[in-house]
Amino acid sequence: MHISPAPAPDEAAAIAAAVQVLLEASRHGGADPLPAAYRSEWRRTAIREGVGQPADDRRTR
Amino acid sequence: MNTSDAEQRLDALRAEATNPSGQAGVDRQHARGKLTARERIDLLMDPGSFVELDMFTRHRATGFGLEDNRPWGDGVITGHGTVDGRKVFVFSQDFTVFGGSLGEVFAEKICKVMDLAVRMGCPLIGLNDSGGARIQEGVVSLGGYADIFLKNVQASGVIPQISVILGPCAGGAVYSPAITDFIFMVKETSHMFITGPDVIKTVTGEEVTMEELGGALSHATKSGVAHFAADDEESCIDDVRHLLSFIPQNNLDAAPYETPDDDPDRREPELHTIVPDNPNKPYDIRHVIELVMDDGEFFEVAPLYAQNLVVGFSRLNGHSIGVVGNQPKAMAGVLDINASIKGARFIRFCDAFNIPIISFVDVPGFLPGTSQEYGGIILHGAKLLYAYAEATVPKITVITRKAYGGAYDVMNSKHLGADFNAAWPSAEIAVMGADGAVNIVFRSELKKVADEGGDVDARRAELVQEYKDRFANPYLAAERGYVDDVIQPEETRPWLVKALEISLTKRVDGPKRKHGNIPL
Repeated sequence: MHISPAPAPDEAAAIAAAVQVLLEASRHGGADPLPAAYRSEWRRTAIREGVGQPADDRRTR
Repeated sequence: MNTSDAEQRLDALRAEATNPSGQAGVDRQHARGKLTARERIDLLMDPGSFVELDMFTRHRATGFGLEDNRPWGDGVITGHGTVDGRKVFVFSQDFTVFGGSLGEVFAEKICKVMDLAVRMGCPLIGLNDSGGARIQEGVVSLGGYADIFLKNVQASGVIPQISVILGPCAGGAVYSPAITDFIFMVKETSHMFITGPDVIKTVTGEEVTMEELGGALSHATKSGVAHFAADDEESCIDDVRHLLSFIPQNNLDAAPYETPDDDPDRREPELHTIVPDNPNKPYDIRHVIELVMDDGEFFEVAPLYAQNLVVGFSRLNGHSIGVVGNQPKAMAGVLDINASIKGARFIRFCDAFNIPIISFVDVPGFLPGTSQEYGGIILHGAKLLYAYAEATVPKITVITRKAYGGAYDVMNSKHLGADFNAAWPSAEIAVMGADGAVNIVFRSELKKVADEGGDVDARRAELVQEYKDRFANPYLAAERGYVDDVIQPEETRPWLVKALEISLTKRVDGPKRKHGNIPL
């Protein structure tokens, strides 16, 4: 990564730490605050079945 | 007409349509202590989000001078916008135009937003302030009402429907709000009734004021028609916005989730002392709920009606949930007709919209008496049982103290399909309380003691203690798996969080049928 004008060493360290936190967060799904159950196909299927829709109906609102 | 003229004409028409009754109409509305239809929409919606539809519709009726008075919009404002960023559809009846009366075009506009709300899967909010049917339009306006009723029914359980009564709502008009999921009213200014005070006086001779008959407090305390009664329109609409934060957009959406600040593992020591040692002493179940749920938040529904059963919305580790709890502070938490109906309707709403249900049980049984039996407690109590049994959302129960008799079964017992059940050590799960049981089971023995001149009270006390030691505890139920665990009160929040989290992917696929036959 190239930053111009070049940051001071402590600024560079702070930027690197912030980038690191951002990368870690996105790697662990931190960008999406919803718990895993909300992305569960099993749960989506349960909701569809609850209204009598076929379990493999992929239509969403 | 050139482009500039056409654009100026549009501006002029818009100005006319947004204020069809002029400043005098607005002033009259304010003088009645009410906001205008547009002011209400502005309060409800996020700033700048409202998009109006059908601003330029006008009625087509003739006769009685109507053809000479065709205000733009026909007395109802319709459209869509956002509430806390979530899309909703709305109609707002304008009392300043023909007294908010409903005619053909007025009804068509409402039906149009109802269709759109269902098609887009968005909640529908109706702001009602109407004098009733537009008499000059005759049967056409009656047809308009029925068109709305049909769409209310078809949308029921598909999208949340919320009715806000901000003025009169009388006669057949009441049946549209009645079908919707929640009714909000404002003290003094909103009224609902089938027949008004004048007709009642003529027919039955009873004298009653508008407020006594159909005011917010009457419906919030006596009839149970209104779920919420607010002091003024601003707080009423605030409550509507708050309610929306707990409920999903439609029946295919999961219930809302908010990133929690509260520790899911928080142990609440105050729960340890909340149940009095004396089993006949009351405590406030709302306090238990507040101690357990995220940040103590509990949005109670129908707080003034059937207070022996508490229902409302809350959040547990960020998940929106419905809470049902027997209230020992009111009628010792006994179940009666009103409480059964209140609980059943709430549970069915939660189930329709994928909101998990958590029940706190402390119930001594069903209320005895001829008024309850003649009033149909058998059928009405069955509604609560039916609603719990039918619900397929996650169902979790905590028994805090008494769970007696049929009421134990009804209150989301394991036998009705509850997913996880726990009991506090203070729980008494039995067919009936110790005193009643001893009087029945040991009637012969107590009679014998009496006949022999013995100390009946002392023997009864011994038997009561024996019964309590043997039956008035949670362990017989735990032996059979009717409760999954006996937990310390302070462990309730972490236990519930874990039970809820594991239940979120619950899947139940019952046999196909058109619909069940709930004992209505």
